[in-house]
Amino acid sequence: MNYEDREMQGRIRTLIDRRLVPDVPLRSSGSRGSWSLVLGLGVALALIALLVGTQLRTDGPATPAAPTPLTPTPAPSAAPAVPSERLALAADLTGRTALVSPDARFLGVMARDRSRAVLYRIDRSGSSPDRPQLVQLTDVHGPIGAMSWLEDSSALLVTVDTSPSASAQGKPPRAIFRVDLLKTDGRLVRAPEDISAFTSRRALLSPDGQWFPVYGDCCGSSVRLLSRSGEQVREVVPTPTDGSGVGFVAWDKTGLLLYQQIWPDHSALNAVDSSGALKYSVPAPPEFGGVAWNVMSAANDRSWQLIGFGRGIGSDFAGYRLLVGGQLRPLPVEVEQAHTFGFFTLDDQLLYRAGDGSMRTYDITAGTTRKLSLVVGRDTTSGLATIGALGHLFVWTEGLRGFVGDLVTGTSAELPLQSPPYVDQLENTRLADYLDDSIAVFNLPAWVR
Amino acid sequence: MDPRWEQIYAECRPPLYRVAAFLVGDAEGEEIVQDAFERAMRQKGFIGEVAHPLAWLRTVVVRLAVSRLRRRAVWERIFPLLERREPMQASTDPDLEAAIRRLPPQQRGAIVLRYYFDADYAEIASTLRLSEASIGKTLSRARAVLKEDLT
Repeated sequence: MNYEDREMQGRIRTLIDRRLVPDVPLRSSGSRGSWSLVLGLGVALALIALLVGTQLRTDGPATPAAPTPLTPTPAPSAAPAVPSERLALAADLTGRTALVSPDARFLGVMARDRSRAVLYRIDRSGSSPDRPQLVQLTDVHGPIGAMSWLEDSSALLVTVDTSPSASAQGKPPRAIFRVDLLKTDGRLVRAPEDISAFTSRRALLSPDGQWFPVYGDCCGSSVRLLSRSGEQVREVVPTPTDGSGVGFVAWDKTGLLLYQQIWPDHSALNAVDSSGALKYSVPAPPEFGGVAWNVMSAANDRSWQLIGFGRGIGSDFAGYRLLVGGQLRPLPVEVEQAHTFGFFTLDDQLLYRAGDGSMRTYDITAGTTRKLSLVVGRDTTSGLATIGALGHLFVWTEGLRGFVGDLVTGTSAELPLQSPPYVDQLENTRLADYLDDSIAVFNLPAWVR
Repeated sequence: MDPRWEQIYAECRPPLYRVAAFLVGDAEGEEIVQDAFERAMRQKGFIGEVAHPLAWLRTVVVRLAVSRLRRRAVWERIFPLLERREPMQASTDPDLEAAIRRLPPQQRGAIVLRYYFDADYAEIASTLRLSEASIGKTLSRARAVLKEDLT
């Protein structure tokens, strides 16, 4: 997908995502309302079917003929009494868009109507260890665009939509976001007004801990950095004039900023220092065409980074390569074939799920693979989805059931996740599960002892 | 009712409603979402048998919406005086929304599936009951019209 398409995708997503969703309960089968509309449409349908000769067909996709029972992971081991805590939210807030800080000491949460974002400290000094109290530190009023945590948990980044409400000269309004930093010491810092930016879910600090990337309001614009203090903006890569698009990808081991540059038929990864001086450039394999660079997994010290080359939309990946020492290396075929359930990191080795369900590691330096004890979802028809590796523990879901397993010992247990699409991996092997009215924080080791 | 339905509903409803309401209007969008869930609940063994409920439900929602758009287009051609407009929420990007509304129903469905749901060509083809080979052309026609409308 080229940059025009990406811009279109961004606009369409924004357009649809900004629709308000009224609270309407699920009607049980056979009790639907609005019969007048149904009846009216039925009459119209009969007439139209006659007029256009449309053959009426079922609108549901096919389901398998025979029920396939869920195949749970081996029996769970005994769980301790208090393995998780619950953060209850005020009625006007929703956990669906909340973010627990990486160190699990703070919580950023948004109002249901996106009118404000609030930063709380999680107070665990009370008498109920599984019910910490939330102490408000500061808030900011919206409309709120998105939230993100600085990876050192020092500030919640909040984007506030300041777009003009009406279009000018028949053109759609340009989306403009202001960035506010809600510091965990209680201060609110407003980034300079002239940046139009949104951030990713977890803002990646430079190796010196001083800068993090902010993105343009549309893809293909310049690469900018915002200081950790929130007070300085630095444009590292200006907007290209040759029709290509640029965007931040990652930091490298030595502190260079890696950004992608994409043309319609090819792309490259460029490494620049803090002044924007080009240090090296790596072209994407030419057979991939104009693809985007995505870091799928990386060593803790960034000595290797696994790049997934995307054609722009979802899982439409062209292929994978290891970026090591400024050069691309192919993955062994058996490892690349395991891409369906994702790639992770375990002890600086690449972690993946093999076709037989066993978890394996690929040692980038030695070029060897190793089979681990843990088996994850033998039966992929049960709706297997991997969440990730937290230390030596691995979390996944099968259908609506969550599981956590120990990659070393192979033991696993059911984890009562309630909203698997909304989970965050936190530090110290903790996992946040975001519900509508509350947030559950799981202490994972307690589940697989 | 199996309590797991409430959870599926809570998780899947927002994107389904937004897309349905975007395609056919708020009132009909609500009907379509409820209809999709009703169909899912009537499917014996849906929970546990369908690996990706959202994918299943969005297929139903987009099919129902496109189907209603087709019927509406015919209805409006036949009885222009009885044309019925669903109430719509104020748009944040009125030009784009208007341009998408001018697309034929199938192209509208394809654009939403591709750009909003990240659906691949196979899923778009299956949902809209088109050949996979025709999806690229359908999308590029839609894009060309949108581009022209928006410049």
